[in-house]
Formats: sequence, structure tokens, C-alpha cells
Amino acid sequence: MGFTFLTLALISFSCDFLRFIFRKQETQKELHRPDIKPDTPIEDHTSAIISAAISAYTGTDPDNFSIRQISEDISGSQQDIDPNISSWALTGREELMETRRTRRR
Amino acid sequence: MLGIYEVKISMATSWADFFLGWFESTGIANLTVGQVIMMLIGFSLIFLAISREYEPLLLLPIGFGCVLVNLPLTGLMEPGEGILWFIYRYGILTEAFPVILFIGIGAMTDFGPLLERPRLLLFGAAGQFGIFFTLIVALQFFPLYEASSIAIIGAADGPSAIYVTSIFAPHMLGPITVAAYSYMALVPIIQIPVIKLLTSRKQRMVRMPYESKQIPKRTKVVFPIVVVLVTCLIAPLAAPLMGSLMLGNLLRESGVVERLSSSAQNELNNITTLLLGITIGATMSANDIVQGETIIVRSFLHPETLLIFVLGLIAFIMATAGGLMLGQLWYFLSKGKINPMVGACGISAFPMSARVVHRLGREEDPDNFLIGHSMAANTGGQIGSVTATGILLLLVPQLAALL
Repeated sequence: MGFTFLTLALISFSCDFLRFIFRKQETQKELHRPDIKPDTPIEDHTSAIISAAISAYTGTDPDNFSIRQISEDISGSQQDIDPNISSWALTGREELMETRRTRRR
Repeated sequence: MLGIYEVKISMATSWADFFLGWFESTGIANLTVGQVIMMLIGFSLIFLAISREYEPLLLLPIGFGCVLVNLPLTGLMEPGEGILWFIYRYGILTEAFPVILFIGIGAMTDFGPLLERPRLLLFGAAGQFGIFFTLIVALQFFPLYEASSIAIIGAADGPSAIYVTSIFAPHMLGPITVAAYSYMALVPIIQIPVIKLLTSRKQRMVRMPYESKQIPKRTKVVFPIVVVLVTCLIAPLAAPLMGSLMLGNLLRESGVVERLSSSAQNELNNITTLLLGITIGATMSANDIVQGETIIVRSFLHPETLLIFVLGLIAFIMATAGGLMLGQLWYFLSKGKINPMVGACGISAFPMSARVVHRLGREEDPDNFLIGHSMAANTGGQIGSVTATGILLLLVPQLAALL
């Protein structure tokens, strides 16, 4: 048992040492805000498609709402999620979103 | 007239002999009660794998192998003749399968969370308490080598259990492997009561803020090499397991051998798991498998099998308790900043144990997310179990020489 502790403690300190050596590369992950193209003019067919989608989702008559502005995400739709994010982190994120959604209800 | 009559009698006798001979050569005439019981055990393993999804990747082939080997007169495990005996001889007795399996496990494991919090690796050491505690208990009933093989069930690590048993007590491979994998499948059932017993609600609600840090690629690449060097210099006999585990991880993290990494994670792992499973199942015979005068594989229906299962359960409980005890110590030293439940993840059952702790944390407080820390401790448990295996392989023969 003592040998196991000793070995793992050594590995643990080795990890710290590795982090110390490579510390310049170590950066906090930042969530990038998507770049938004300002003042994108709305094309009629785009507006119609989005109106239909909102109408289908909310069950509201398209005549009862109007789309005034659409901001286009020009940085890619997955920009705010690190593509290398591990599956367990993604699961945690989804669970958090689910919890918030449940509470809102 | 007399001549014709005699001929008829003679034909009837030969037909009767023929059918009798045929019947005696069927499995039905040779089926024993023990074989029927073992086949029922095999069917129940298949049922648990399919219906309850308890470790299906292993319990399904194990169950099928168990059924196959207990069908009479098939000769599948006949030493020197049976096909399953050859796979057993060259895959398990040579310790090849667990070692190959570890390459795949290493390639599938992300040590990132552990590298973010290296101190949590110590939980991986505390989680091995079950091995050493059970060793002392098992010594009251078994000789040292057999007791060590049973104690390794506490590592909650199938390949390690197979590796140690194939060296120390190969005749006990069937019950020890089945116990190890069964308890791994039952981690949520075994761990939850132990955790609730050894922690208070207040402690289970402790939040541990998770600040994700990007680990430099160099650290991830150097890490497996450092682990191999440190572990194998202290416990050289851990080299086959730790070497293969970390080789797999290096394939993954290096990023330059994507094909090898993918093969290790998929084809290599799957083929080895299949062959390992069916061969372990084949060791679950109702009768002793004997070569010459030596018992190669002991009957599964031996009274000791039950004792192995009981000791295996004790090993699992004490492994969880060991991690929790360190968790409690850490909780008091850090003045309540460490959730002691994370200590329960110091076993190698990955990722089941981490999920259990995460779920328990959320049960008490829906906004408590312990998954990052749990995963870190759980991967630490994997390293800890292989280290403890190496240390056991090193110390037990020396102890045996002393005794």
C-alpha cells in the first residue's frame, strides 16, 4: 500500500513538474464569442423559412409576428464549443442545460 | 429355416448395438447434473449481458463459452486437442490477452482531467486498499498465491485480475475473472450504500469548482513515458501492463499514428475481448480439467468459488471505503473544499465509478457537477490498480520465500 502511494505521489509530482516546464503553453480555455456580421440585410426567402420554422415550433400564426433582424454567425456554428471537448464534459454540459430547462418549466 | 431365423436375430442385435452406441456417444447420455448447473450459470450470464446490459462485452462471450465447455464430449478444452484450450494456452497462460487489451484501454483513456489535477491521483492509491485488506482476510482461507489472486479483484480491473491470476493461480481463473467482471458491472449497486454510509449529506453537497485548463500537447505526450519510467523503476513487474497501457495512450496523444490508435481502440480491443471472454467462459467447467496428474483448471462447482465471490465483494467494498477514508482526511485538511465522495472513484472501474459519484452529487444538489474531478480520480484509479498489481507481483514471491 505504501509503495503504491509512493509511486502515485511521484507520478503526481512529475505531472506538476511537466506542467511547470510546459507552463507557457498552458492557457485557460476561453469561450469565443461568435463573430457577427453587422447589419445583414434580410432576404425574403430567408425570412419566410425562419418564420415557418418559428411558426411550426411555437404554433403561432406567422402573421402575428415579424422578423426584424437576423444576425449571421460568420465564424462557424460550433465556434463556442471546443471541437476537442471530451464526451464526459459534453454530457455534463447537456445535463446542466437540461436542469436549467426543467427548472424554467 | 433355422439359418434364416439366426440371421434375423443377428441383424436385430447389431441394430440395437448401433442405436445404443449412437445414443451413448451423444451429449444427452453423458450429461451430468454439474454440467446442467454450469450451463444454467452460463445462460444467466448471457441473460444479464443482454437483458440488463451488465458488462455485455465480456459477460456475453463468457456465458457462451461456459455453455460450450459444459456440453458433454465436445472436447473443446481437452488439453493439447481442443480449440479453446489452444486459445487459453497461448492467449491467457502466456498473459498475452490482458497485455494486448491494455493497449486498447490506454488508447481509449483521456488522462486530461487527471493532468489538470494531478493530486487526485492519490485517490487512485487509496482505492487499492481493498486489495491489501482482502489479501490479509483471504490468507485465513487460502495459500499466499491464491489469496493474492483473489485480492486483486479489489483493483476493479479485469485485465489485471486475469494477469495476476494467470501467473499465481491459473486454476482459479474462471471464478476470479467472473467475480471481477460481475462486481464491476455492479459498481452502482455496491458503491452507493458504502458512500452513503461513510459520508454525510453535507459532505456530499460540497461543490468543487471545475476550471477547465488546456493541457499542452507536450505534457500529454510526455505523461505516459513518465508514468512508465516511474512505475517500472519502482515495480519492474508492472512493465507489461503499465507499458502496454501507456503505449496505447501514447499512440492516442502523439497524434501522428491515428491508424494505430484507431486499430488499438477498435479492432485489436474487440478481437482480444472476444477471445478473452470465450476462453474465460471455457474455464468455467463443471469438472476439473486435468493434464497428466496436474489440475489445469479447477471445477467451477468447487465450494471455494463461493468464498472467492464473498472475498471479491469485500475487496470491492474496502476499495471504495479506502478511497472515501482518504477523501474524509482531505476534506478535513482542506476545511471542506474537497468532496470526500470523489475518493470513491479511486478504483479502476472506469467510467462507472465516476458516474456514480457525479450522480450522487447531483441527487443532493442538482447544480453540483463533480464529473470532472471524478473522472480525474477514476483515471488515477486505473494507474493505481496497475501499480498495485506490479507491486503485488514483486512482493508476493518474496513473501512466499520468507514464509
